[in-house]
Amino acid sequence: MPDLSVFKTRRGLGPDVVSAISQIKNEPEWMLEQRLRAYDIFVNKEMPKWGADLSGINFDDIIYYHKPDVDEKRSWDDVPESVKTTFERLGIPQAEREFLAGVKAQYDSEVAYSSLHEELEEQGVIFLSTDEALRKYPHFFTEYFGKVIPAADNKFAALNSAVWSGGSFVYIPKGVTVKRPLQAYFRINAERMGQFERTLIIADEGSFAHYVEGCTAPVYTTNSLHSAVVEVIVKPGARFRYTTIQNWSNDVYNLVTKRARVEKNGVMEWIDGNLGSKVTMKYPSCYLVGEGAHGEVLSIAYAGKDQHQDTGAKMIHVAPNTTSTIVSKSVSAYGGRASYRGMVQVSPVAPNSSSHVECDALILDEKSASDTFPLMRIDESSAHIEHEATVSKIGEEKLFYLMSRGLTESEALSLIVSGFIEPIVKELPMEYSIELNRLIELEMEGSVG
Amino acid sequence: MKNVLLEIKGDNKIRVTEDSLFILHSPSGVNPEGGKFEFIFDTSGVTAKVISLFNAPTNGFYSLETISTHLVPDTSCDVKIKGVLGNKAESNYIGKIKITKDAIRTVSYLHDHVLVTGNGTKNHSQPILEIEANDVQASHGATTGRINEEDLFYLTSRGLSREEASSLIVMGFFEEIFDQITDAEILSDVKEGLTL
Repeated sequence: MPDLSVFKTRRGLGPDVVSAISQIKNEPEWMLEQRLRAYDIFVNKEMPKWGADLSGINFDDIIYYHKPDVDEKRSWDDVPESVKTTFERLGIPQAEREFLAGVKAQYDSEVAYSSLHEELEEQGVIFLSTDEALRKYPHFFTEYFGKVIPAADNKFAALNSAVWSGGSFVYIPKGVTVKRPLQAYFRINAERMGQFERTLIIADEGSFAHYVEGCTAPVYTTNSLHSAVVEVIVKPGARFRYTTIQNWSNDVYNLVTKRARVEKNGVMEWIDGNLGSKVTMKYPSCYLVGEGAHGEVLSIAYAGKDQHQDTGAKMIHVAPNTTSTIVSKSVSAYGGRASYRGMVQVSPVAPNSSSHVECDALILDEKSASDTFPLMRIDESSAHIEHEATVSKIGEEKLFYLMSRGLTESEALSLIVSGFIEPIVKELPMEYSIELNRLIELEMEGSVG
Repeated sequence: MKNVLLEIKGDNKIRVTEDSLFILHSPSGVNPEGGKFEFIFDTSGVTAKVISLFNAPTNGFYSLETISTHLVPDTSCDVKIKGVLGNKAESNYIGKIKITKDAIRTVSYLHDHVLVTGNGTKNHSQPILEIEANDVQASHGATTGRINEEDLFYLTSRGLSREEASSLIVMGFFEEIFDQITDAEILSDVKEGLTL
């Protein structure tokens, strides 16, 4: 794989690295100040004492910024051959491009390729790399950046706020419906690379859009760190769906903070598919701040050999008549551990709220494990809250039934697992559900990609 | 099944050696200090039920932690906590089911249902599962809600006052658990603690 970086910061982190990143990007003074403040917060915050084992992360051994020698291109034909090959290995057929509205492909830390379909431009939809958007539309940043997830939220949000690079900026104007999903791809390339993309999405009143992100990384033996932050603002009456299918390689620490602020009668849906990575800690959340707001998380996690998926969701009800739904399905096999960690909080100012949480776990063999750590804090008397969780293995009779019809054991297993996750997979765009099913099949055969 | 009445206080470790029904109970109806109970299953073939009922009055506080620890094959446990919260009452419940690698064919359930009749209530519930064996059946469920308006309407339309109707529904809420207690003396202690 070519290492196209012509500029990278020194190994490790310090105020000099943070300033260098801001300088390369030619950022306004206030952004540099925010980055430096976030760096101080990062240094002073402790590592979380809960969740997965993060002791393998060596912050001094990571290169925090990495610029490829390609500038943003307008059309697919202009994209350098080496970058194109990378994407071809992801298996995206040329024909698929027609279907995609606008594609931002991130190579290492920069967005290497972007194109905005005419339709989107006409509607006034903005879909750019975060770096470019900061230059062109700074007012969105001064108003919203860091307001949903402040740097002090947690150690990794602070890290991201200090060294963020790339990611997407999306603005959907009032009343606009975007029919085709907005897509983004990115990956870690170089050894010991960190990835810190920062995404900011504003769905203005009455709008509707669907954003899809899928990322892959090649196999490297040294640990990589992916610490992203995604902030979404759903304005009154708007509806936004954010889908992620992630399949990081087995040496990546994937620690992401994703949060939406949902205003009056707004709807936010997080669809989260977690495969791969050595450790994932990710809890998409919705702060339901306006009356009638609705938040939803549909999450799948697959934990294979030596993997720990510690994922879940958080729903915070702080307005009347708000509703939330969390459906989480996890599969652990070959010694993997899948943990659901979630919170539903109803504050005293959120009367007539309701929440439904369902977590189901399949443990496929004696070596694997599963946990659930749900927390319900219901501080209001008219709330209606339901939570259920089950853990089981695949019944012998089910396997026998399928094998007696001629399927091999792994074919039977993969069929049953596909059926288990089907309620969530059917919400994905077709090409993702196909890829996801294929990935599950590969995992069942024991041949991890 | 042997009925065992235990008062909710302190940190208790109880080895389950024979089929038993454990009733966790606060004689005064509330217990601000709370109590913790770990039920240890290290004898194959045992079944246990753990129940706890509370009816927290105005400003009442109820706190409980239960842990079902399954260490050997073929044990089963069913934990059921049911409570009612009056005005400004608070409850805190942590219920853990822990199944270790060797505890295959464990069957372990946990249910926590809170009925809210007052206002200004707080209810914190944490049902936890830590499962390291796959040939098991484990699940938990938790609900919080007010009395169904339709149920109230049905009863008040038959001439009962709202208070009478609420009382009746609360009695019904606890009734399914009363039916499981076979020791008459324990049952009467439990009913007394609930001040129904």
